[in-house]
Amino acid sequence: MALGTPRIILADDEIHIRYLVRSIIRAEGYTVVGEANNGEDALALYRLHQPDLILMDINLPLKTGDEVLAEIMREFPAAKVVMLTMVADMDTVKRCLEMGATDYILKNNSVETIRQMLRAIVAGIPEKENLV
Amino acid sequence: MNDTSAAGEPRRTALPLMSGCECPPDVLASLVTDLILLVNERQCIVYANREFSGESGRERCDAVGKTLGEALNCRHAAGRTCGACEACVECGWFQALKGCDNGLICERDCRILTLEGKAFDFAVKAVPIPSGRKGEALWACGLKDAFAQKRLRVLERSFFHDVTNLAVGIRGMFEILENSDAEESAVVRGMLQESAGKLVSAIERLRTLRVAENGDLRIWRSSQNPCELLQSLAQRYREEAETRHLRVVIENLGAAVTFETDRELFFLVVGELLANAIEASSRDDVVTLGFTTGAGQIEFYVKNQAAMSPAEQAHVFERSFTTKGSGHGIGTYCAKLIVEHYLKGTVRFSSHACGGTEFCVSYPLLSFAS
Repeated sequence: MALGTPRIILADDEIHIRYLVRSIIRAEGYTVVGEANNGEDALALYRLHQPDLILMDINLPLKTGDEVLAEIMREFPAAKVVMLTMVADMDTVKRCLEMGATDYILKNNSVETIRQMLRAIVAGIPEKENLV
Repeated sequence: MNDTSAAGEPRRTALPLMSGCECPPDVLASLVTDLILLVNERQCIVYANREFSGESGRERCDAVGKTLGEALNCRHAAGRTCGACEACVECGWFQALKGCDNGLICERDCRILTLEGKAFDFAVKAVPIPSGRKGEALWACGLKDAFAQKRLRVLERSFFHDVTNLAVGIRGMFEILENSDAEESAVVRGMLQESAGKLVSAIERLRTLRVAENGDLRIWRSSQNPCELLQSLAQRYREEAETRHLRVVIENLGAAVTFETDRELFFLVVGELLANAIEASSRDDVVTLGFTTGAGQIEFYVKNQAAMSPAEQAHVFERSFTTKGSGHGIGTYCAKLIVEHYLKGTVRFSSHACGGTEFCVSYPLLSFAS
């Protein structure tokens, strides 16, 4: 991706996971435009910011990650949604990919692996004129 | 009949098991490691294999003429007719018997909690069979203890997930710590401490339940202030409540009273009920904590605004029952087991569409010898 800084929303109910992923995102020079600790807020933030990418946990309270994914894909078919997950959620991950999720990142990977996966995902996002 | 399959391999044909064999059915049944029951059309047991005694701790001859709930002393059958209670509509045992009217095997899960607090978790298979007596119908039923399998599912889905989540966060924050400045280090260290505490709590919770089920739980009683207990508990769940945009309110903190209990078990028990109340609530709901005293008892309550369906209510306190989908569910069972078997108290609940759901935990107010 050549132009601008990717704008990312991060949704996870665990504060330490948000902190960890936020640190990785910022270290890569990307911008976190919003954070949510539940599914309803994640959806509201997505509608508000329409970011380049949303990194979203599957087990979110109030509205699960796959429910939010379904609504985002219905409203924004070109959305880039990456599921954050643990190995135990793999059945749900497969379902999310079928529903239109761009990719998934395993939270139990090392920081370096998560960083590389994030880079690869961002590199696959088409350039947009409105990137900051 | 062709003796080979389409692939040319020899076809395995079923051998007539009883051909020329005079082995009594009772001997065959005694070789089976699951419970085998025969029940009549009044749903009373007419035969139980030897495994019944081992599994239930009751003489199998005592089971004859009784329904399964009566034989096991099901809490719903106390003083009422087993099979005719409201909760029996949701009972997997009766559903299995009624579900095989078409002559096919019907399979259901059946959880029974006895009046003594023993929990059974059966996978039931039932099938109607010819009785040999004219006009009388019989059902053959196999009951397999499904608890170990379900517990493993709970471990995989819930415990391992939570523990790995925390451990992953701790590992990642250590990696961040290596390259962070003093200001960030202080934040990360605080989060590390908090995550490590949550990790220990998650492991300790499961260990406590396991020890409690084995009957080996040790109680450490000390004098406790109920107001302080509730305030500490609410603080522990503050983050979870905020995540869901709801409030945990403590009421009735006026009474100046102390009582003796195990502090950590209190947090575990009432914490399980509070966690359930938070999960069952919607955005902007209020979860209320409080206590009352009277008749030598102190009663803590946890209220939330959502009501449980009659089907859910019938299964509360059963081991492995959950409203959160497959792979969860030891909260109310855990609370009842610990309070009623170790802390000499009681746990009860009520749930109505108008008033929401309330769980109450009562403890003796005076200290007592364990």
